[in-house]
Amino acid sequence: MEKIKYSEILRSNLKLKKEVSSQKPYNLRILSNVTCNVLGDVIAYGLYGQGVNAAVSLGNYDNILQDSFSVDGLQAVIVHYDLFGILGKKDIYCEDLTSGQIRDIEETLTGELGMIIRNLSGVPCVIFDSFSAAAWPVNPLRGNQVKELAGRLNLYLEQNRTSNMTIADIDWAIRSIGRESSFDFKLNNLTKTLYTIDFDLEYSRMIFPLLLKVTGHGKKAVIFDCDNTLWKGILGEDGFDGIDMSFHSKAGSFYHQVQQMAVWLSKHGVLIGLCSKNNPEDVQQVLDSHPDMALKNENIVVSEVNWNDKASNLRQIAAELNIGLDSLVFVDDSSFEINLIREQLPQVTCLQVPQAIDTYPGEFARMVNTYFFISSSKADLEKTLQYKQQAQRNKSMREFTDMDSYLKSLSIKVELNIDKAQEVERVAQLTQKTNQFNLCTNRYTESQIEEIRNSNGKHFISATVSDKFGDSGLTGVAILSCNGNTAHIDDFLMSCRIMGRNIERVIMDSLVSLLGEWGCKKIESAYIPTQKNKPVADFYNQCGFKVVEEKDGTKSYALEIEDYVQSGITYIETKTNK
Amino acid sequence: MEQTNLDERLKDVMSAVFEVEPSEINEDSSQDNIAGWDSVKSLALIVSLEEEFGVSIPLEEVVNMTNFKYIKLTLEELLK
Repeated sequence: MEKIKYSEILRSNLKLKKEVSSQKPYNLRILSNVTCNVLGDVIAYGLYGQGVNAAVSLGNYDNILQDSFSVDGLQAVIVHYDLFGILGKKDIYCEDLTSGQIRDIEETLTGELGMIIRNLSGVPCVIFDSFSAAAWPVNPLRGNQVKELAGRLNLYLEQNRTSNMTIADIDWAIRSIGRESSFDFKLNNLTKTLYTIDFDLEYSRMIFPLLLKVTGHGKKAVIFDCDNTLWKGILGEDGFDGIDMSFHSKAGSFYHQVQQMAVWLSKHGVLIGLCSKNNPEDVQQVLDSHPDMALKNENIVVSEVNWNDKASNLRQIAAELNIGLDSLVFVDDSSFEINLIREQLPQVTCLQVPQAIDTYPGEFARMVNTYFFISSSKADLEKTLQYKQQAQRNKSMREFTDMDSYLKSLSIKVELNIDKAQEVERVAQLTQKTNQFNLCTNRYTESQIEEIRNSNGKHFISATVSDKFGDSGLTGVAILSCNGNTAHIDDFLMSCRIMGRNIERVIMDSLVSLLGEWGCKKIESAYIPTQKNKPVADFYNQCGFKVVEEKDGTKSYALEIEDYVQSGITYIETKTNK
Repeated sequence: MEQTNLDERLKDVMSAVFEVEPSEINEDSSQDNIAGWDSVKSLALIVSLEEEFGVSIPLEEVVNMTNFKYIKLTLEELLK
């Protein structure tokens, strides 16, 4: 992907989306514990550009495991589980974590990863981003326990990789643009985004050949010119002994390296062909018997060596191979030929042999990395199998078989406070910025919350949540009005950070108990729809409230406290400070 | 930077982010009158502005970037 501004991507996406709308949608979802909205736009842009009707969606923030249970209809899933997001919850410097804390994190994570991988095993393409320690500025001269943790987690991914899964080494993208350019700690602080748009672009470049392949837009063949492309010199003039592609010569070695890559490609299903203006028998003689050729007859599937124009020859080649012209990459040293093809066959991707011949292997490799996805070899897969057997022997790793046992392992604790003075500011903030899990979406200022605190009939309940990973802080708020023996829940909201753990049900259990203790018999509330709060449209129904009125999407509810059935969730410890 | 130039570039960026015509962005544009200006769009706006103008908007200013006039003022300050 070329260097392009984000605003241009957004503008182009609007236009491109319309152009591809008649195509069948390709459903790709990003599951992550950091905000990935910008990355989603960048990937959609790349796919639209290839004519793919990309439907890119984002999972709920930090709900990777939960969302991995519902992936029906998705063709591709990218999992980005960021160590910075995980360890950032601990109020302790990463190098100061005890080995016990690290082990706890590792056990829980590998347990989660196992479930995620199993849940995604039916998705055609899964891209699992590697774990990285690059976000921490730890001096590389000393041992770094986060880096070691990342290494062990990556080994776990490798050992448990399923055939639909590709591991994307994000450290490669970080190295390629530099650590300073990769992270945005300001936006992390404000929006839980961690990576810069530069990183997103580089990352997209990295995974793009795989996306091209799985969307059916990958290249299939590399077609080489011969003179000054496979070897230095002109066969018709310099003769059999005059051309140079020797591994041992100064200039020839660069051609030899390109030939070696072509051989490797041919072993991995890429079609290699020749398109050259030469006498066919001369070229054949070189292929048959020149000792410096890495590329042999057996590697070449198609050959148009003649004096016809190259556009006709490439058309011929595409027809012979029964592939589209857009599946071809053409490599030639001549500006004339390259321009001719660009003009006449714009679908063909061209690579011109660079003037500085020492850059030729690098340019060729870059082209390969851009357009061809070579999946792991059989040997790699066998290695994976060995890893797997080894892992099975290693029983110390925990395995979770279902969501409940996983949630149990987290040791989630919920603490509720009533009208707590120290929480006024944060309660107001949470009402201001929470959109998704927000039943009525009333916004309160600090002074309004302060008023509630000082009033008789009104109360605010604040919930803080912690688990073995750390403390999520204030994450839930309920605003209550009591009138005789009827209570009204004016507002009920939770930060999306802790969604998907059934914490809301436990909070409701505690709220109902509390209101019962206060002498209430009945609870009323409402769900007021907004553009964002659809996920909780049925929350009160799930809690056993009855709809008493429905108007323009707004549902009014009532519950007789004696009819309430507690959720029965035992894996969350709750405490109400009265 | 010339006034009009900054105005135009800002309108351009805002129109791309909020998916409206540049002519629909004016001095009075704000979170209150532009549809769909939510937290996701705010993030997109900050990323786009920093890129377009080659500046880093200070942490404490990011939350205030909710209307055209303030954004313009902040940019002018940063570009001085």
